[in-house]
Amino acid sequence: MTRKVLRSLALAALLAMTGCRESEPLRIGYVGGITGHLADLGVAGRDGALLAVETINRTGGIRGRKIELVVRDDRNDPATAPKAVNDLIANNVVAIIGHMTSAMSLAGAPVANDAGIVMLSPTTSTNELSGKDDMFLRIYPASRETATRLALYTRNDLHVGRIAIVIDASNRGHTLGWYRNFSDAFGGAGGTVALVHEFESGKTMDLSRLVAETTAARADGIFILAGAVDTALICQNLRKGGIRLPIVVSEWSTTDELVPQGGKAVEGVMFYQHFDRANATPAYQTFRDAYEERFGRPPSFPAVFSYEAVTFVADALRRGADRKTLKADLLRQHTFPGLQGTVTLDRFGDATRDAFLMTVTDGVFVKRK
Amino acid sequence: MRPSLHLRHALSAGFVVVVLIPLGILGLIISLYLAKVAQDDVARDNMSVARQFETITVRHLQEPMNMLRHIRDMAEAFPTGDSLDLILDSEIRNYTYYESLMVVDTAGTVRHVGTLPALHRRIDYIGMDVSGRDSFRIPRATGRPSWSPSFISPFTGRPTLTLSIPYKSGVIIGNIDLLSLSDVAASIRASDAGTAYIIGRDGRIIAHPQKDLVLQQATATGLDILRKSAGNPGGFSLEEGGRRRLGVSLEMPETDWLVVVEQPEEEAFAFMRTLKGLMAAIVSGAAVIAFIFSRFVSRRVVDPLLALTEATRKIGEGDFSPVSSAGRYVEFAEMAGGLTTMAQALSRREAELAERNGELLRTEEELRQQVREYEQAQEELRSSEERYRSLFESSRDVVFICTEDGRLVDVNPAGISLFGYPSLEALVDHRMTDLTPRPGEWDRLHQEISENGYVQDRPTTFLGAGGQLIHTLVTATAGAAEPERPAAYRGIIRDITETKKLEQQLLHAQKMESIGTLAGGVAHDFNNILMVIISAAAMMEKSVADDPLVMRQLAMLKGAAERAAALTKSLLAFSRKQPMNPVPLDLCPLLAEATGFLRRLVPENIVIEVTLPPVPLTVHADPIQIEQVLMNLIANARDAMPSGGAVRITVTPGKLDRRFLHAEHAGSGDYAIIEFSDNGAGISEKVIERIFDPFFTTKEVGKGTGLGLSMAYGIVKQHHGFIDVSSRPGKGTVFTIYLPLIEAAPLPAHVAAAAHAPGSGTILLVEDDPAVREMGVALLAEFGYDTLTAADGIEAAAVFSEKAGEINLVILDVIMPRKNGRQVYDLIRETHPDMPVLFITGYAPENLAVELRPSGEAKFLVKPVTPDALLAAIRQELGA
Repeated sequence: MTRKVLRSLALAALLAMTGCRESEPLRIGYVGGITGHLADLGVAGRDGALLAVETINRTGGIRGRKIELVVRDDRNDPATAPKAVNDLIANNVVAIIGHMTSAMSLAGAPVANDAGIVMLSPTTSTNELSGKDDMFLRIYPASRETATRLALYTRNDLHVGRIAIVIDASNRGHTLGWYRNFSDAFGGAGGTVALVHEFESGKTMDLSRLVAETTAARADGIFILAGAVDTALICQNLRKGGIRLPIVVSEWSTTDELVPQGGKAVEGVMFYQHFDRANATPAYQTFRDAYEERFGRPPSFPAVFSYEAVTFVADALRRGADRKTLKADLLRQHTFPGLQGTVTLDRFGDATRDAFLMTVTDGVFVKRK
Repeated sequence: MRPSLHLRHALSAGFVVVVLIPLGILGLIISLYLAKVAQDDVARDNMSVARQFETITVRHLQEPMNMLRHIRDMAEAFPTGDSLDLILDSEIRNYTYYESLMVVDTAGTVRHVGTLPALHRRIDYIGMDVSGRDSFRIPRATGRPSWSPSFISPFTGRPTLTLSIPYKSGVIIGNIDLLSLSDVAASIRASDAGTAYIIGRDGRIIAHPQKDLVLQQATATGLDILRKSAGNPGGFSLEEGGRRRLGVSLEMPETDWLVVVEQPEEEAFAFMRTLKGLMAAIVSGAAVIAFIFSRFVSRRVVDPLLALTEATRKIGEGDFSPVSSAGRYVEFAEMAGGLTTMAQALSRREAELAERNGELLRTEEELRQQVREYEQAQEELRSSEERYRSLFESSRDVVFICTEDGRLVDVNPAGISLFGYPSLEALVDHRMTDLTPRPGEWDRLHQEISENGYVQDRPTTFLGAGGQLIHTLVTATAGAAEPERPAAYRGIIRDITETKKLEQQLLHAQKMESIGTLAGGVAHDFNNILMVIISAAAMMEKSVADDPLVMRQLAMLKGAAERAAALTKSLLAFSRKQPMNPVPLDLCPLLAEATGFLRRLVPENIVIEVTLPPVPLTVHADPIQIEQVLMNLIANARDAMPSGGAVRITVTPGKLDRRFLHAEHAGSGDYAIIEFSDNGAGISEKVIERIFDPFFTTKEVGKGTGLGLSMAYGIVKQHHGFIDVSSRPGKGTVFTIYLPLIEAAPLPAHVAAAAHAPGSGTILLVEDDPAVREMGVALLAEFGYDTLTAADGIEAAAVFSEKAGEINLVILDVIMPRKNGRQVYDLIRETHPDMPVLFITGYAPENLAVELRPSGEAKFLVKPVTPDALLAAIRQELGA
């Protein structure tokens, strides 16, 4: 009888040990700017990633192992970004979700390349990382495509002939590409760039000068390449300055801060987005409800794409991929079921996905066409 | 079943259990009660902290509100003008609550802005439309102050709250920096474990000791639980990441925030752990004390019990001294008294028993003495019996007992073996008259015993079970006549069969010796006489050559004389007087060679088998004479097997029995034993006795000389060996020749030694067969001889007459065309009587052999002639 007791104790100990091993979590890194005045992108991305991880863990993890999301803040600072990525690598993560802006991705991707670890960005659009066979992958289209689309719409549908472009130079990685692609396409379609106004977010912003320059340039349309808060402030000032020209923006401007900060000034702002807040597919509805329940607000696009990025990585790990084989697995997979449609990765890990023309009507983002 | 539980252990265990159970139950009750009390305590504690935090926070918000009211008053007092901007700036600079302050008109347009120059440019905000914001709409709609949800300021990156109050011309809006609330959160529980924090409506953390969480806009987990438990005095309990947290939450009505105070369960109940440890210590301490006490008590009970047990054991062992009481208890004293009484009774009874036992012991001793004496007598009897029995059993002579009328009653093993019976049972009950084959022999013995009472060494012949005769000496006495026993004879039979046989052999040897001496003497004289006769006859031949009648008579005379000479030669051989040339000789090659010519002496229906040992057997012998012996024996065997059979010749080395050697006067040691056996008719005993006698023959008159085996006997004797014969009628005869082995290395076969030395001279080879002739020429050339050849007698005579001077030796084939060997020989002799001649013949007819041999010096070789034999003969003839 004693022997029987001992045997069951040993068995229990063994199970406990196995349990310990099993509960050793798989780590996935997240890097984004989660503090400071540009944090809306990084915070939403983090929350989307967190929701994905929590959902996966609730449904049994990956091959019996839980996932742990290791979050690092790049503070939207090119000097901090490589350190944050290095710190994640030192934490033995299998993949890194991030960065959330192009400038940070340009700073952080080389580190991931050196370490041979996949960096899957939910929202980076810079062309500078396009067409490269490296460890940097993304599920967000490069700016060229979207910028061209927006430029042609502005020129052909809004009939803008002279465009004033306002650029935030603090995220040049993003904005420069956008600017070039947009102006090329716009010029190509017979338009003229009447004004380029650069400022640095949080540092130099002279809105009255902008209003004056825009008027002087006889621009008949405005393209703002800035974060939501800056965009809102710019719009407020343009309206205040009596300028009632059509305004187009990039998706960067369209986080949750835009409407509260912009108020009536952002009514009618046009942009292309790869995300539709009113999407009615069950997958998205389920996600949106879970997100609201967890974070007390509706999801914005960085949250959606971040959630997708974690999900795609988790699916690959379920298929047996590890840190070394993850890139090959993702590229082999080629198409991914996103929350609102299919995402396609080419052999360089650059994404294609549907874009929707959106506008703000009565303080709400709505789909046009 | 033997119990295995000790009273001592049972008592100890009982005590411990009795102490532990109530203590354990008490501990459990206390623990449960205290746990409940502790939980309530913790909840109450946390709740009071939460209220304190809330109070501070409300006050923290109240002051900015008071300031807004103050600004409202100012704004209402100075409805227009730039002075309001200056008032706003100074308020922001002087108080740290606000990040920015705005005075908005009823349309929602910003009219006045107060801000830190580092953050904003006033000009960017004045005229801005904020009519869409809650912070404008709510106060306008309700006429009451409003707190916005907290948010991260896009300008400072810090948690911010927008506070707005209505006034008659619009709304006054201020953004309050909330980060300082985190300092409050850090300080409020600084002295205690646990965390106090504030979360907004959406779950975002507004104030937290870890400011990072605030700056990173972290969301509190378990939001629904926190909301549901708000104000609940029991608080909440929530599991996260494997750790359970306990706490309370409190709603702040003005802001719709939640103040949360929580801590990990293990920290909250840290003192419970201490308490449980204490309880465990008390319980185990109590158990130890109980155990020690139980040992003490059990010693008081168990030790006296053990002492009484020991006393009982002593009584059992015969110690009947009074048992002293052990321990303090009355029961033990009574038990000791009882044991003492029992011991006394036992003591009395034991004394009686001892007396009774003494008597019994004495009787027993007497009986034992008688038994011992009886056993001793038996033993003596047994050893006596054994002595005589062993005398009887081990005697080499036969010891027997038989009845007076000759029925065997008992015989010892020597008797059973002598008579050749398998067992005593098979032998007893035989009658002596049946065992003695000679009629009347037993009756005479019986007669003598009856008369004298005994017989001594009486020669008696018995018949063995196998039919053999056993020669014995019998000594016997008549048994003492006992009334109940029939008269009996007891006696000893001594086997003298072997002795008798040896005696006979000795006698035979002596006889042969004397016959040999006699024959030798006679033969010698006879030879001389025959020389005279033959010489005289030869002389007469010359003088009466012209009288054919006399010549015929002379030839008869000469023939008879030559036969007589042959006989004489045989006799000389028998008497060992003939010249002998012994050399060290290996018998094996000799016998192997001899087999060839032996085969030609017997008809084809007789098979000769020769078995030779693998080792050389060297003897000192004359090979010619040994061959003679073999020839004589084969002739004998041939005559014994007229219808065919087998002759076996086996040669083995062996040692000989000393007794046998003595009888034969032979030396002891190692011998080569040649067994020569046939499976012919066999020889009767009578014949065997005389078989080696000269002139003794069983053959028809004229067929044999009766000297063949005598020669064999003589030759073997001359070689210091001996020959024996045994035979069983119908089974065959075995002649056994013993020749003493010597140490010396054998000479090579008698011809081999000379074979390889080159010779010289010229030889005339006469041979009609060209193949044989050529072979001969080649052979002779090889050994250095020159050769002349001739194919027949005529040619041979011609060659010889022409080259006689060169020729040293002539080799003649006996049977040749035109002139036979004998005729050529005669021709040669006419002119060259000294010329050495060798005859070679395929198969010599007996008459030719007889004719040739005595005729002079010519040597006779029988084909096939080995080269060795031929060369040896040549060498001998040439005197090399």
